Amino acid sequence: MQIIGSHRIYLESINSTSTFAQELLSKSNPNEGTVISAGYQTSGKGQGSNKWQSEADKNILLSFILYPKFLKASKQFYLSIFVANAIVNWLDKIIPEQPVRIKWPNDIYVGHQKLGGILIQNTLKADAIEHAVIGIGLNVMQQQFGELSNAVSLSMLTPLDQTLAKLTDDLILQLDHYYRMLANGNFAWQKSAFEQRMLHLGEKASVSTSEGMVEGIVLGIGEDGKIVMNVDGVVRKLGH
Amino acid sequence: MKQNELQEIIKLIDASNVAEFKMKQGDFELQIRTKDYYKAGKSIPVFQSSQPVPAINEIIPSPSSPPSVAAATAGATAIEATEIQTVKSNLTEIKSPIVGTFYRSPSPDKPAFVKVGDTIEAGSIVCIVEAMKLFNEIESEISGKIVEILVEDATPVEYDQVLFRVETK
Repeated sequence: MQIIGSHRIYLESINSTSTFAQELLSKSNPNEGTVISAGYQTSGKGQGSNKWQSEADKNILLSFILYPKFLKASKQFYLSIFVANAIVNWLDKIIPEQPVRIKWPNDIYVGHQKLGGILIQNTLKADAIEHAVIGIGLNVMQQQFGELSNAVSLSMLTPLDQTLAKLTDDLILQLDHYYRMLANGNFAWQKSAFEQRMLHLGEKASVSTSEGMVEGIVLGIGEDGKIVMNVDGVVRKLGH
Repeated sequence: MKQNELQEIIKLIDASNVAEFKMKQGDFELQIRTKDYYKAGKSIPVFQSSQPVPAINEIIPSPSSPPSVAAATAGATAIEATEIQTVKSNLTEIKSPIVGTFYRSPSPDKPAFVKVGDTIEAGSIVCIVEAMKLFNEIESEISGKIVEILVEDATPVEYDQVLFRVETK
């Protein structure tokens, strides 16, 4: 039975779909898997203080609500993992020839250009995740990115013959599929799938971590989502 | 309370004719009774501690220990028959459920979720702990008053580290 996308809310314009989802949670008991999508976000969240630069009805901007009772707070990075895996699989079908990569911890790249990102907000009560609001922003049809020169959209990579609505529906199906696999316990498989698609896997790279930029060979991730790198012959686990 | 502060207090009391000394600072309560107190006919003191306070235990003589040992350890002159009580009031701790970075407000331009003196309810959001770009709002499981915030904004926290002390009713 479908969870993610079982209920849908579409808003033409909203400050942020994640904020809308948080308000829904504070005022009501929305169904698990409720997806809130928007044509345009006036204050969408990117990394840190970066504003997501998005033109109206050209990109996928959505948030969805989960109650992942099967997941302890300490294993919360699996939320990032399943979402990234779902997006990668969705992209593989649209641009099968292109190098779709996950830039640890939460960005989606094609080659060395950023196509989108994931933003997750959990509410924790002791060791339990009471609810999670997962926000996704993906550049689809936008052609201009202003100062975000490293950004790329799907339409810049391939001729798109599908509508934004159809692409969004397909993405939601992938998200639902990967979430239900995770809920059924395929943690090791999902972690391995994530690692195989990490940007710079097996290569020497400079990675932004909580200790600043660290140069080393990217080996994978830990259960807690920390990146595992070989730094000058020493295997280290680093946070973000 | 730091150990040197405590030593300083003990020195001052020892140099005075004070019979009994009590102080309260946040959730920390200290009670010292000197030999003058017991000369006044009180019963033999018993060291009591309802919560582990290792720094204090080290420098406080138990009733049977020779005063000189206490003096050497504490660097203070001997106090005979000193009793220190730490009294635990209705304090509960809110701990970090994950490793991450502690934030007191939803964003740098917004006010803190809570400050010392605020009353919170079970379910109130007290802080954010961020890890690997997952932002975790931490919900209080208890109602009460925030009496202490133990972590600086935007600093790392460990699993199970105490973030807040809350006085429950």
